[in-house]
Amino acid sequence: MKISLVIPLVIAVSGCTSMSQQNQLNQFEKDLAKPDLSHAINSSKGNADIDKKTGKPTNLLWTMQTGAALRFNNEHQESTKYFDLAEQMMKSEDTESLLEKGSESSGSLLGNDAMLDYEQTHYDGIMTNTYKAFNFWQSGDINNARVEFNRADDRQRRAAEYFAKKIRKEKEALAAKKKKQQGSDSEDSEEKSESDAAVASTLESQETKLKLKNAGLDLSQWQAYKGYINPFTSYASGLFSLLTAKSQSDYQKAAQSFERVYGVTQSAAVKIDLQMAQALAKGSSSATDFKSAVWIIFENGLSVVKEEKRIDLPLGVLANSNVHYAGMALPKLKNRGKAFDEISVEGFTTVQLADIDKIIGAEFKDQFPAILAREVTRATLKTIAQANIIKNDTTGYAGLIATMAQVLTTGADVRSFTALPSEFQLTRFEKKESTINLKFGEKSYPVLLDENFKNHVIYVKAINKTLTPSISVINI
Amino acid sequence: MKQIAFSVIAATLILSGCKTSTSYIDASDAKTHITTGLSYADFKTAAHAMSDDIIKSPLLVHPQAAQGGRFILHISNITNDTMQRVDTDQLIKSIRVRMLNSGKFLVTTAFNGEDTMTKDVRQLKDSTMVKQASVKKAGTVLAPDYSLSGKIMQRNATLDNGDTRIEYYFQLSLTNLENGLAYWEGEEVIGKVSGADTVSW
Repeated sequence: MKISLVIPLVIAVSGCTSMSQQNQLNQFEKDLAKPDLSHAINSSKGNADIDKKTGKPTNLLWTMQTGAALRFNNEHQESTKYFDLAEQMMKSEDTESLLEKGSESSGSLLGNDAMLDYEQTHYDGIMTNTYKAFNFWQSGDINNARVEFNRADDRQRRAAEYFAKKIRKEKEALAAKKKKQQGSDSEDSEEKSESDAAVASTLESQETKLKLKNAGLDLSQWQAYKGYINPFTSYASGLFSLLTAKSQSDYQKAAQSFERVYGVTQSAAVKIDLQMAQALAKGSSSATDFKSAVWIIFENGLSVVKEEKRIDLPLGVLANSNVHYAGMALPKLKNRGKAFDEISVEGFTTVQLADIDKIIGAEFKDQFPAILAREVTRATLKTIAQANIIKNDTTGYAGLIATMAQVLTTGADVRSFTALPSEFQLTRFEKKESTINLKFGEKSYPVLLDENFKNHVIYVKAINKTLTPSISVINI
Repeated sequence: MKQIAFSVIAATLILSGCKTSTSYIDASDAKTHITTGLSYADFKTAAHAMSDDIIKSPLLVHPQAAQGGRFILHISNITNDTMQRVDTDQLIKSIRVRMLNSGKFLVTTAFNGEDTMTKDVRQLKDSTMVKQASVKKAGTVLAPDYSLSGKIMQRNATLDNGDTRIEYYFQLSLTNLENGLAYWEGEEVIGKVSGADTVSW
């Protein structure tokens, strides 16, 4: 195929892809803020690219978003169906061959990251299983809830091992680099191509670091929770084991989960649960020794999302060239914040259990060097091509087209699981009344607790201050 | 043009060659068509080993065995504590069949709502439609002697080479309902190894 045919095609695909993805995400955010969630459900289903033959969605991100939107609308069974399909797609993405990944990646060098298939983050998978576990628990299916909590726990184990391995490899690579530098001093035996050398000089330059920092792309503030855990998932799994225990080993499992969460959050509510689980695990107490209790889990606000940041970094290939545009587009995190500071109830207030923004930020920080390297490589290659076209252009049009192509194909991948909350909060207290009032600032909502049950987990979700929070009760 | 045509034909042949056609397999074969989850072969292996162990236990011989005396077994809750959405009846059915066939046990289905007809037919005693002589009488249903309970657990661990070691623990207890003592306990472990790329379900 002639290059003159490829360029317009890449422009059409990549330029539009990035922009339309941003539009879809913006629309979804607007729809989530409407009282009638059917708009959010329908728009995300539409974006999930449902295959006409199989009737199944093919877009992983929007299948997850649909699952979440259905869950927020208390359509638990339908939500689980979408999350199950999302998990199948995650599996396909995990097991995609190196050849497929390589060809996708090289294809994107002509365009941008938004052209690549969406690859799930660790927290995407963990939250998919956690949401499914709650879907089942809220529907009264504790057998399948247990399976999903086990899956979420296993995904957390895999994430911790992934990050531990990555850190170990980075340390080894650094040590090898230092050793090599000491051995051969300034002599660089490996000859690099012009573009490789230019990419390396851009990535390593102090000016790049400064420009990234000034553009708000300094990610040093994002630190993962110790052990890379999502405290909400670990806590929820522990609480489920505690409240639906069938044997001593369930209490032990609950105690282990609470211990991990208490270690990273120092939450007073978690401490009480930990002591309870430990006493039950030891056999020094039985479940009947404990008074009726109420737990409030508060899914608060909307998580950080990615937005595009256009930036000009010092490209090594720019020296002595007459290119008109050599910009890059990188994803940057944007805060959306909490809906309410807290919920007050029966003299207690909810406090933070898990900062989801922090979890997203830490994983984004981990991915960012690779995103930056790809974008610098891409910009370098495109700039070299543009410089060559301009140099050989006698008409003046080819150079202009090349410049336009570079402008239009530059775009950041802003896709992420935007249905997630900013944080999860928690409180627990002894049940004294069968009706309690949840206070959100000035507003108050009564919740009736079924007297036939001893314990209650109240799951609250608030996206913003104006919408009525969604409140559901699990009776145990 | 010829090159393009050749490439298309070659690609078609390669792709169609990769397609698996539907065929019958031996579902009890644990050596081929292995999955990271639990298959019929796994349930069968565990159920056979455990039920054979129960059948040969010297503690579980009915005092009137020679006169046809058999213990009555109730199947209680078997918890699925794995990452697989499986029905624990897949394990229990094989055990029940094997234990019934052993001639040492009978399994009751009258409790815990397993077969509600045992209870329902006794409510026909006032029905004008039913011949009253054929209505099952009160006080004839036999209470169980033993209860079988347990769970299936899954533990995943990463090996030094990055692969995942998956272990399924089938744990069962047989409790004598006369005294609450476990007369038999058994554990059967099925281990598998899979690649590190993805999850085990």
